[in-house]
Amino acid sequence: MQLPDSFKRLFVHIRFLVIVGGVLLWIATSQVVEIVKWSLPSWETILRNPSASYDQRMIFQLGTDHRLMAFVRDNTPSDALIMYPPWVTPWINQGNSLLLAYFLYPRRLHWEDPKEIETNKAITHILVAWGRGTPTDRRMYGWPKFPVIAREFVHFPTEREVFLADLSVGAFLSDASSKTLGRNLILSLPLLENYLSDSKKKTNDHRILDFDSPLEYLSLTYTRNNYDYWTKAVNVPLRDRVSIRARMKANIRHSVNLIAEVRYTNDRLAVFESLSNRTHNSWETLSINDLYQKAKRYGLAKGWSSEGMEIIRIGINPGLPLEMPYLERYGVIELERGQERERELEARVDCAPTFLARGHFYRAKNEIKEAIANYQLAEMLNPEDAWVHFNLGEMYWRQGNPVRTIEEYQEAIELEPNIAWFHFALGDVYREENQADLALEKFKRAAEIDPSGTWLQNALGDLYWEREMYEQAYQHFKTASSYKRSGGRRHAIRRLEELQKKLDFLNQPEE
Amino acid sequence: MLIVGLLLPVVLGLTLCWLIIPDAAIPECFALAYSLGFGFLTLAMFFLNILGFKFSLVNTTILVSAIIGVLLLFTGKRNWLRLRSAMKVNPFTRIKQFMGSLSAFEKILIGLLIFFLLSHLVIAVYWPVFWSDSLTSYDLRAKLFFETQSFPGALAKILDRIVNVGYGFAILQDSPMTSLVHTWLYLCGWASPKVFYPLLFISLVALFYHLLRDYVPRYHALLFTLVLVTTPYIYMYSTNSYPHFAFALYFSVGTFYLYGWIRRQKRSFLLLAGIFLGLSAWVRQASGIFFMGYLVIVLYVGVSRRRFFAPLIFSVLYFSIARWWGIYLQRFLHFHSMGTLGSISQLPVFLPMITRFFNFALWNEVLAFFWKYVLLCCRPIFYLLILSTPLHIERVWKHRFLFLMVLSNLILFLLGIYITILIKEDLHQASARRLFLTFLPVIWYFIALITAQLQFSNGKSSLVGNSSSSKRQKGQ
Repeated sequence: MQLPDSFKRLFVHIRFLVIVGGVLLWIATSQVVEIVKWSLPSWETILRNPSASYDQRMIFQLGTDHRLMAFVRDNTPSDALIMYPPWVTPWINQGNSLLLAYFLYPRRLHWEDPKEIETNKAITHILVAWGRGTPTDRRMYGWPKFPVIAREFVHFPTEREVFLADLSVGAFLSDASSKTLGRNLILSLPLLENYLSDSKKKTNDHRILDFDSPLEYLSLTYTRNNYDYWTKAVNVPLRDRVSIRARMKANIRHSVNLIAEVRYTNDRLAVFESLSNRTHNSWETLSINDLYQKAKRYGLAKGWSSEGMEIIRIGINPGLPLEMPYLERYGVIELERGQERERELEARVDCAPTFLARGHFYRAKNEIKEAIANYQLAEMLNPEDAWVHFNLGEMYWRQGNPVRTIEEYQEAIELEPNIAWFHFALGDVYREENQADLALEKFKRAAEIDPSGTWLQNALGDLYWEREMYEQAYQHFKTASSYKRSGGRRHAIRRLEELQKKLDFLNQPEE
Repeated sequence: MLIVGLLLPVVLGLTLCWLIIPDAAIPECFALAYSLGFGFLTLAMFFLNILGFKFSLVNTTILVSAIIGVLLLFTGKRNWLRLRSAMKVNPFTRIKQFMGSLSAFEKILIGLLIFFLLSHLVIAVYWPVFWSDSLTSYDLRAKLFFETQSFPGALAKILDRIVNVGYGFAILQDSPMTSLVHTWLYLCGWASPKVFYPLLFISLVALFYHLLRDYVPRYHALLFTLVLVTTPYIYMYSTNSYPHFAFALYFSVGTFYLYGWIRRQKRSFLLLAGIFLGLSAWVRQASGIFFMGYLVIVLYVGVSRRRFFAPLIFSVLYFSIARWWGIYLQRFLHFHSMGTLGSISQLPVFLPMITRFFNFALWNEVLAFFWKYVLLCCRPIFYLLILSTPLHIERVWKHRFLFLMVLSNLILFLLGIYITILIKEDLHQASARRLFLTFLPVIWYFIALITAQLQFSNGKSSLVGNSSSSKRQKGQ
């Protein structure tokens, strides 16, 4: 049947109107709206920052990821070899080797492998990356998860706030001097002064706050901190049972401790330190209780007389380095390789951070005895630093002394029970000493604190393998194998293949 | 130097354009010159390296200038004179005349087009390269090329930089065009290579309009050009330095010219089709499988219209550009990879799988994947294609070869998904979606052609008389 022309025309016109009208309506409602929605944030940034630099523009888009790259680029030499996190959540960008290569070029990159840090001297730096994204387990955040012999740690600026009250020398003495000094020194001006420092910082605020009782308030922004002593001159004879006390509150845990400087009769000076604050944003009392014994022991070790010792300064160290887990979330660590220093370490005053650094220096040069001697001096000045004990433990292990290694590791764990690596290291020593049960216990404890890391998963896998608990071993190797761009991954994959063959063999039906 | 970075490729493209299609209109000529020029500039850089020279600024400029000189000898003074005489006319007078001839609706369309294109240009140029893949693959490679000015040098550098990760090969595997464009712009002093992409977008828009205008009324061509510009997926991707948009441009323009050849049998269109499709493979190696579909159509048309050399010319042009990178990787850098999906080199791998092509459950999975993930950003376009095709069946018949091209692209795309699932057992959704971007301009072109308003005379349909197309047909 032939349709008349008028119908055909009508159909064509309606069809045309439907299609073209529909297209127009669609452009106006959907396409344009979507494009405008997409363009608006860009335009907002463009109009607000028309002359933004390359780094600023990249930070607008990539946020912390680019900020970290730019920071590392600005704080490392162009011939650096940098170790970076594995390519898993939460380091999808921060552990992406090609992205790192793009931004850090011509610096070279090395994947995660804790074993290589001491053996491969070519590695010069370690990236410190907290991670982004949403891993299922919040314990995953923070990298590196293994100890690093740091020469210098530069990081994103972090503000530390300290409130100090009741700073005093203990009144256990019977003579007249104790009466004048056994009081809150905060009441007396001047404020604490910055006495010795190995840090890079900005002082934001420093004043007395007059609440119910007067408080001294310090706000500092660090980008590098080894130590930063803020003290007040006192001049008190150091006798038995003298103690230094203060109440303090800090916004970051493990960031501030109490210090006391002692002068010996030969005019040599040594700074003794207390345990650091254990909590954040709550008041706690810190003290150096047995200062006389500590000073005497130290004097003896150095060959100095313990007669006529004097406390000449007391104060705080709000620049305590946060070794691990790194609360300063982003930065770059320069490894100690025994390189010459442009500036000598502080020599006129003996303090724990200097000896720790010297210990690292000799350790890097494989001069173990010298390293131990320096770590021991650091331990005498700051016996409550877990890392000093851990380093001593590692040196004893190198000397083939497992008993002392275990002692030092246990001491470190007692002081800092929530550092997974301490438990892992102790477990590893037990494993080497054929104490598999103790090793397993320690590995399990380490996994409770932080299950990430191929080394831990591989160690657990190997231990279960030895015990012929193949299911458990498989699970751990499987987890370790998921860590892309990680040194332990190859071992895990090899073990998985072997395990597969073994399981196939075991599951074969008997003929 | 910054201007030279853009001008030299355009001059190269212009001379090529005059050689291939001497009667092209000036806007078409410039749009072609930009895309052709950068394509051939990167080929020149590649051949310099093959011959053992570094693709430094000086070396490349000398080679390209020499090519331009030789081409000008071939084309003679004729085209320069044509250009000069065209330039003599006051452009403002021309624009005024053109604006005077526009209806209010057309003026609105042009205003919107200018607005969106300018916004696109500003956004693209303001933001540096920041998308993860474009940084880690294409721009990283460009920076290495820029520093070493050679392919083996770049490979050695990347292997040296990323200690104990054998990643260098993956970086060099993809076709090099966009990276070489970045390299060229870096060599010319550009801080960001992204200026290339919005200009390429403008080039696509100009060609799309121009090639559409040959068949449809002006308002219709303008309307669908605006539709193309405001397609969010195209708009967003073309502000970024992914190669997918560049691939889409070369592939679509190749398709438009191929269709132009089928309609008009003009050899220059066939040459341009072969070159543009070849350049699409020079951008990404994914065009092989779709080229096969086109080749079948060209074979049919060639045989049925006794143009026996057409398929040969078409294939030679395509392969002479497309295969170089693969050969270079295998012979010079000793890569032995499978190649990416769509590469011809994979055919021997696919063929033994033919018996597994009748797994209907898997086909169902493929269609679900296509619908759910691939069409996610462009479902309305697909609806419009499905709706307008049966409604304009008589126009579809008229443009049946273009319809076949669209159809072959869709079928081969689905086949590609099928094969990828067979080989890899999983498929990256975003990758598939990005590849589909290639077909959007072609689909819009097809919809625009079939939906154009008809003029009736004596009950028969015919297009409104179009001066430019009739001029071309006369000049053939």
